[in-house]
Amino acid sequence: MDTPQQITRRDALQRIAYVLGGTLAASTIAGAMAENAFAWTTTAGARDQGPGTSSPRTLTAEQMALVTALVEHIIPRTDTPGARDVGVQKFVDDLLTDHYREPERNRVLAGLQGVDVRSLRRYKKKFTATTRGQQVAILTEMDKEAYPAQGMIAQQEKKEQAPPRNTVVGPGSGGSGSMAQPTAADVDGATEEVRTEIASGWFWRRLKEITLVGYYTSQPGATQELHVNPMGIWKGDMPYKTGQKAWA
Amino acid sequence: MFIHTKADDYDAIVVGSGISGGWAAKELTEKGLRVLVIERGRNVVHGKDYITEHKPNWEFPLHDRRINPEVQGSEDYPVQARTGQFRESNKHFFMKDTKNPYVEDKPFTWIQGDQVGGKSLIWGRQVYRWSDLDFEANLRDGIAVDWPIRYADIAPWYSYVEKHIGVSGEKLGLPHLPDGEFLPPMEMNAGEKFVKRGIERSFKDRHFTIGRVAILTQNHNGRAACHYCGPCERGCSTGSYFSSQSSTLPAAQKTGRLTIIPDSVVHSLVYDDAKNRVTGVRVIDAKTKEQREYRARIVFLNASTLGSTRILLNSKSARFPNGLANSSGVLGQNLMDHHFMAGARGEIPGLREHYYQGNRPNGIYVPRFRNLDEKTKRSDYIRGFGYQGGASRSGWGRGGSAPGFGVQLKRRLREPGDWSMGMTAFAECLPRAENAVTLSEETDEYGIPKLRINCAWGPNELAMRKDMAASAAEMLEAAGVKNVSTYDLLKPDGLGAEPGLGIHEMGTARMGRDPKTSVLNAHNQAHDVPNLFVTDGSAMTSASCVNPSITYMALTARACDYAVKQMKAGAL
Repeated sequence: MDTPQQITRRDALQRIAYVLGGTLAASTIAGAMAENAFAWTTTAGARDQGPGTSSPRTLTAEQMALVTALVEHIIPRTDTPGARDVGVQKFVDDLLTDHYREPERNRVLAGLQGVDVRSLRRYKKKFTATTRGQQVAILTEMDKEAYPAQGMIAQQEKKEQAPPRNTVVGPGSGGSGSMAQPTAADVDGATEEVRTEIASGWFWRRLKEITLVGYYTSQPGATQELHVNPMGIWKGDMPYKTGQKAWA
Repeated sequence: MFIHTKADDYDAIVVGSGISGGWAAKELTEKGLRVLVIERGRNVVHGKDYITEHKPNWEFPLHDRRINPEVQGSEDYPVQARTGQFRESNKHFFMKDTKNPYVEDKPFTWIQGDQVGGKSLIWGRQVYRWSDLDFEANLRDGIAVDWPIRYADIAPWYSYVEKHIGVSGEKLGLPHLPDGEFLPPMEMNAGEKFVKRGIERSFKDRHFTIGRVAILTQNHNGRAACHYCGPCERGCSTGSYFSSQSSTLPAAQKTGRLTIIPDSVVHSLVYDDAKNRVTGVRVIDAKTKEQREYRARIVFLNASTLGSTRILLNSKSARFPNGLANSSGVLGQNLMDHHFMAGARGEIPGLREHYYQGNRPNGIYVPRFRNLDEKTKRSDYIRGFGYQGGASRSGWGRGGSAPGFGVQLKRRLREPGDWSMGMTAFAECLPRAENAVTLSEETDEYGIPKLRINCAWGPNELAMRKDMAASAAEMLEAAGVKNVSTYDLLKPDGLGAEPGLGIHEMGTARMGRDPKTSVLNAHNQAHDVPNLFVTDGSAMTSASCVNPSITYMALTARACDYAVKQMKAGAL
């Protein structure tokens, strides 16, 4: 393009969230106020190859283990498969590799490091080395911080729109995902970017979104945990009984 | 050098195979003409080439991700990715921006199809008749030029088109949104019925109806009723929505008189000064860059609003140094689009015992209620808008915007959430001469000058937008919807609700009564060149606030009828 205009993520998100009818697809209309409204922001390729079938491309093995633990905490295995079973951790890696551009990728990586920093501060161990109860305690704290009073998130995100001033991943490391040596480390070894991410809540909200998209658009998530809306008929008004599953 | 052989002679040439080009092909072949359709994009075979139809999301590498310009995967489509329609599952039905770059003086999003069928494969399918509220608008307001036709001129052609394509909808008996030949309407869901009752109870002169849509609710003309899979824009092998592939091109093919050449980029039209006729079309093979010339007795331009105007601007001759059929000088001016991305949304209380099944490819419609008469007249703007929208129960996506994780979250998301309702306005834009396209100094890979687009919303649009958001909120609140919030995504000089995004671009070769101030006459025939017809969106004299495509179809069928009668009478 001659004069490319950079649309911001937020613009595009709002577009999808608010457009109804007109040139929009029906499935989008049906879900525009909910999942479809944000699905694109986080969707990337969980290819349902299951966990560990290929090497991660952006995440290190250690980061992958951390992501695996986190997504399973968000959507655990119950009577149906959990996030780990359907390979959401790979979905995260694919997303970071094939979808996100560098600033956003770096925020996620900084957020991951922030989880370990929290864990080290509290339990002197990295997250994956702590007990299940300790992990839940850390995530409960993160979850509480990430969702302030109603309507506050949008304001908060507006303030946070600017990407970190410095990248956590060095310019030369590209998508390899190896964490560069922190430059301005504090006592915990956390760079300013990591501390910013710890304080923001953005990382946890984003990871939850990614996990939900990866899980509920996977085959087990859509067909076992939920039901795929069958084609063939449109019933505009159908009785609903509590306990009946939602359409995927 | 454009090579011509005798085999390349036809009775009629139609440039473009989308919504209006398909209609020209059908009408002209059915009336006995040998027709050549020239399409710049690749061939798309009905059924076989709908490669993503019915594919579950998990079979896409990225789960049918919405691709926006900020993420990887949008590199070849920096403009197309601006529309919410652009997804992993249908990106193959959009023009690669690298194939047809344009110069954007101010933000203008030009969304293009690049295949046989054009944008008819991915269009929104909403169809509403225009009325004399629209055809008399310019005259009444004393702006631009008067339409050379009235509703009575086009009404029978709306019926003709609707009977062929199949339109489902509800009759309302409104003079400003005339009823059509409708198949049974789709049902509203419980949330929409709730809002409808509330709005119609609170506002006696406002209506809330199911979208009128070119989707079959019963079998029709050999095409199957909709099976409600949802994403029409991937293509529909049962032909349940109108596209050129499902509807017009098969009819044209049946005559045995249709030839389609895909991958053929039109460079310009050949004009014979002595005869004052278009004699042919210069074409560049998109793959080999080979140049050919095709000839015919009449030419229909249906290359999309900006595509057709670009061809005319690039067809220069001694008599028409500024573009063919441009003695008026208005060719390229008065570009319009519908402005939208302003409205309101909120939560519908209760109704937890109601749900729905299937994926209805349609929403609701609120017909225009402003500036219809003295009683509804506004002091701050002229013309008006309608609302499109829908209600639904929230799904698993709601889990990302609230606290909670783990077993509790998973259990909660297993059931549908609360109802919500959104309405976004689609609004009329005024024709203004300064909103214009011209040819740039730069050329594309075929040596054709790039289009230069200079378009912005004017004061009337900006004034109307305030009411678009406020009235939506007022109606939702009156209906009992809670936590209503308004939005307007317009950003001055930025992207958000910029012109073009409505994908209803119109004007630039307008119809009119006076050859000095318009390009086309009442039959979409060029004032200057009798055997040249333009029947796509470029012909529009004003924009209305309702979706335009069926009006292009009706104007095309009407113009074909006129053209063939003229040919038979020996005038062409």
